[in-house]
Amino acid sequence: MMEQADKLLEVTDLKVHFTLPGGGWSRNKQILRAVDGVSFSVAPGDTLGIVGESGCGKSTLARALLCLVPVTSGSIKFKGQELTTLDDAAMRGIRRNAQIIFQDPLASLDPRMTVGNIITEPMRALMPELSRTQRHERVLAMMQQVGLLPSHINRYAHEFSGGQAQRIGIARALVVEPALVVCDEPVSSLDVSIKSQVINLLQNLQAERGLTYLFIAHDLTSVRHIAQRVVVLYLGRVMEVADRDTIYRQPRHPYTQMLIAAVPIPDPRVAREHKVSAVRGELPSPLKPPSGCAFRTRCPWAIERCAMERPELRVIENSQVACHRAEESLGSKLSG
Amino acid sequence: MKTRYSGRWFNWYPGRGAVEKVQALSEDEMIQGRSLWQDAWRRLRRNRAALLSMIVLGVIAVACIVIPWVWLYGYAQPNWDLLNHPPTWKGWHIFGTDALGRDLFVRVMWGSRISLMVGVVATLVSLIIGVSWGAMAGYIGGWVDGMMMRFVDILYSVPFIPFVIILMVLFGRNIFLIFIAIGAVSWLGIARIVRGQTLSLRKKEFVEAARASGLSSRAIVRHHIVPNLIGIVVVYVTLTIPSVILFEAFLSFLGLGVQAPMTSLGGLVSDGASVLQSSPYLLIIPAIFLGVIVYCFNFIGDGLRDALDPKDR
Amino acid sequence: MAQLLEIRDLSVHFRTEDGLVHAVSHVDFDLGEGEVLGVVDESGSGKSQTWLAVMGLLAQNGYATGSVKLHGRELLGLSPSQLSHMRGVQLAMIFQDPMTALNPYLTIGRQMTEVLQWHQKMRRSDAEARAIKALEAVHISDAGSRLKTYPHEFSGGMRQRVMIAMNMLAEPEILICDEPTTALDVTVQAQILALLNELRERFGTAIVFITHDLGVIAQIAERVAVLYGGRMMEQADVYTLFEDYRHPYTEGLLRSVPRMDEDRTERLLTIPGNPPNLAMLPKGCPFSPRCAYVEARCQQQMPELEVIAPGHVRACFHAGELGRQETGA
Ligand SMILES: Nc1ncnc2c1ncn2[C@@H]1O[C@H](COP(=O)(O)OP(=O)(O)OP(=O)(O)O)[C@@H](O)[C@H]1O
Ligand SMILES: Nc1ncnc2c1ncn2[C@@H]1O[C@H](COP(=O)(O)OP(=O)(O)OP(=O)(O)O)[C@@H](O)[C@H]1O
Ligand code: SF4
Ligand code: SF4
Ligand SMILES: [Mg+2]
Ligand SMILES: [Mg+2]
Repeated sequence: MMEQADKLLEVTDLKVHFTLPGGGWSRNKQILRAVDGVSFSVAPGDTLGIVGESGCGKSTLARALLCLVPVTSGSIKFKGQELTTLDDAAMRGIRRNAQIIFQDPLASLDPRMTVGNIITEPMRALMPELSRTQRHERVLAMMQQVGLLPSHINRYAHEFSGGQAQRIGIARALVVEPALVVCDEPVSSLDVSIKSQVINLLQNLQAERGLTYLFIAHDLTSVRHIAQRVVVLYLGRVMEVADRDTIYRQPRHPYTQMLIAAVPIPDPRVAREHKVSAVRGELPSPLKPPSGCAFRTRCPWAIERCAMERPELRVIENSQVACHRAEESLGSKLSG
Repeated sequence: MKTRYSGRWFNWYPGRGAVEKVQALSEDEMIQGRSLWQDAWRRLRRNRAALLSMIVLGVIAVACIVIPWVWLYGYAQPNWDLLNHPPTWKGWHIFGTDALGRDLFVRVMWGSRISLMVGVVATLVSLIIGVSWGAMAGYIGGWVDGMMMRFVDILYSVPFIPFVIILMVLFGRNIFLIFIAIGAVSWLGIARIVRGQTLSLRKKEFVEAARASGLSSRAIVRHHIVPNLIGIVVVYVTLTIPSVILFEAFLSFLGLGVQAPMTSLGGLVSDGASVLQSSPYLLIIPAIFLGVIVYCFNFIGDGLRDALDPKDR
Repeated sequence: MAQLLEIRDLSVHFRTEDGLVHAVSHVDFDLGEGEVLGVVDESGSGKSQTWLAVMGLLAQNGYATGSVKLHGRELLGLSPSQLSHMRGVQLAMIFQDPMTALNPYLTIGRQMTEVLQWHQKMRRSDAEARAIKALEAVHISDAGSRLKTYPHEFSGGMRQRVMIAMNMLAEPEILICDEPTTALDVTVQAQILALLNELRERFGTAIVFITHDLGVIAQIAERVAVLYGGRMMEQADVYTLFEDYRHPYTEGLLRSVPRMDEDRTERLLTIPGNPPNLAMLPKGCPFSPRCAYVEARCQQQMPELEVIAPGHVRACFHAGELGRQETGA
């Protein structure tokens, strides 16, 4: 359904399962399907947003793409090269082209390293051809680009605020000039006023360097500003994939609709019109996902079939939706 | 991982107490950056006992390095005119002389030097083995970790003192051997601590970030894991040294210590104990030195532990 | 509305190794019966400490000055036992991380009934019935059997609801919510907000809602206080604050929230600079390092709070119109 050639990253039926020791006295192990059959692709220069509630496997997916957790099955093709079968040494060649920005800015910086060393580290490992002075120059240039002062170079991570720490993380990821950057909730832990600074910075850098982003978030607001396409995840499965405008104007999956309705609107008059929450139920345990459609325990439109049969991702007009009733629901299903 | 407490004397290991003390430190506090150290230093300096201990230890260390070189007497040099003489200004025997007319002052200095050396060297040996073993086990994890730690468990259950006695009997009394024997056994504790810390460090996001930056496992252990273990290791060291010194004293008491005429504080105390009635100063003076050194290390270790403990702020 | 809580000139200081840290300086709040006060602030600038001081729960090295009156009775300087009695009955507080407030080793039921048995000398069976009612009020299904479960068996959102239920047991007059939804998903947040609105209508509880998310404020608050660096910047009713704000910081906050109900803009508006560091606040207006309207005197002296309309106060020297803020880097 899509052109194969010009995809930078192509993920097919990716599964990451964790084996946990059985609870209590039982000896049988439990399997946690953190990522359970996810497929998508990203074209060079695009931004793909990945959205879902906490614990739905977003970080696991991000790590799997960079081979930081073992993949159970499926395929990850980066520039046409299969990553799941690469050994460590071959993977190092890929790392120069695919980097990651982490969820928790402070936790992802070694507390005992100076900012300069943190940003130099990937160059030492991945670009041995550079001389010391070249590396130093690049660090300074990179710091300037992300809005850090040259005088920050000998400071330690904890001397920075969350937003600044995230800038250090961004500089570390971009200093080896990767083609793809996986951003795992880079703004979730930041203050509102700092959040937009970082999103703007990421957008500037993308425009300057022609970067491709995989932008992960747990709500739809920030994704809307940066992504061209959006993947909605629930319990490790893809619920809906569509272009940004389609997904916000015409969300087809009941879960997408719920996510959109849950975002608080910063306008007291609008907010007070619908006080009844559109959100129902709790996220089920990923160890015991519901049969059939994973969302059925919270879906206002669930029917018997939803419990029996797992809905496949189907193309409906401009979207791909995994819902048995996607066609019926062209209007918004949510009242209130 | 359980720590077994054994009341049996032959199962006593140097460094045991240190293990529990270090484990009480919260892991997060150990891996914070420079300001933690600055804070710690500030708090350590405010801890009078620790500060005084550092000064006293410093003085003793310098004295026992310098004095044997410059003093009037050697450690085995008899002064036949003054046998068994209590402290006196005559001939500068300020601590007196023993039954062979040897100057106690220089012998105490030599003894302190040997005891400190035993403590420091054995601790260093245990540190090197323990840190690499523990960091490896913790970082690799899985069944490798299981095997490596079972090995530690097995060694832990070998009765230590009979083991040392057998070594002594087989190879003769040799100070080098004492270092090795003590070091080779007291690394077990540090290995366990380091492994536990590494396990938790390994899950930290910055380690994952280093992997994403293309670092090899070895580079990660060297650049990220080990530097973040320093806090714990420092406390461990200050608490292990005195227990090693005491252990050496204990061996000397059993007659398994340093070969005469060379001596250690433990050896001096042991010799002095046999002539307690006639010349009590031969026991009291080395015993004071031994006690002071051991307490100083303990105070510094406790001070460091408190200084690095957030709850004490 | 009758004044329930009257806070005047409240300051909170901490003695630290780097000297005195002024977490909160000279703030005034009023809370009427059944009113919802929203408190907005950048993180780390004194929101929590203000209300911990009201609760008498400041850390060892902290002390508060000024006056806090509940029904005209001064709370600052009460003895610990008087405070602890008042806390269960008149004032309750919910924290950001419910796990820190719940004891992981006791069942939910035990933790809930203990309070009632202790404070109100209830019999155990009565207390359990009350606890079940409270859990049902926060929409926890199967409340009877949930009493026997431990906190870790609940999801984050459910734990927060259990916290609300526990705090509502004594039907306090004031419920202080310190960022109860910041750590939670938007979906769970929506549920908690709806629940708080419902409880308030049912029991007439006054709520203080602390957050740094203006979207949340719009859902729940009637009056809003905007703080920055521990100082009051602007206070007004929610409609005035959103539609006729008069402070540059409020403007910046409102404009940097990405909105779902409006067309997408290419660039987000931002407030440049870094969040305040309370240990090193500038001499004058705490917002001056980041303010787009900063004048020379802003850096020299702190602007006084002025009343610009009934019930609308602000602290700022800028006299002209707002609306000049540019997109930041
Ligand atoms: N190493 C692991 N071993 C076992 N389970 C894991 C592991 N890593 C993650 N999980 C589980 O996989 C599921 C998905 O976790 P993940 O961190 O990917 O979620 P997430 O979507 O990133 O959530 P958040 O928004 O909170 O970051 C969770 O239930 C988590 O407990
Ligand atoms: N015990 C203490 N000693 C010294 N300073 C403290 C202490 N407790 C809090 N502070 C300081 O007081 C300031 C205000 O803290 P407070 O918890 O009120 O911030 P906040 O606005 O609630 O932030 P957040 O949004 O992160 O919860 C912080 O800068 C903090 O460092
Ligand atoms: S498949 Fe059924 S349960 Fe799942 S989202 Fe569609 S209607 Fe709801
Ligand atoms: S007083 Fe000055 S610096 Fe402060 S908000 Fe007003 S204009 Fe800005
Ligand atoms: Mg995550
Ligand atoms: Mg707070």
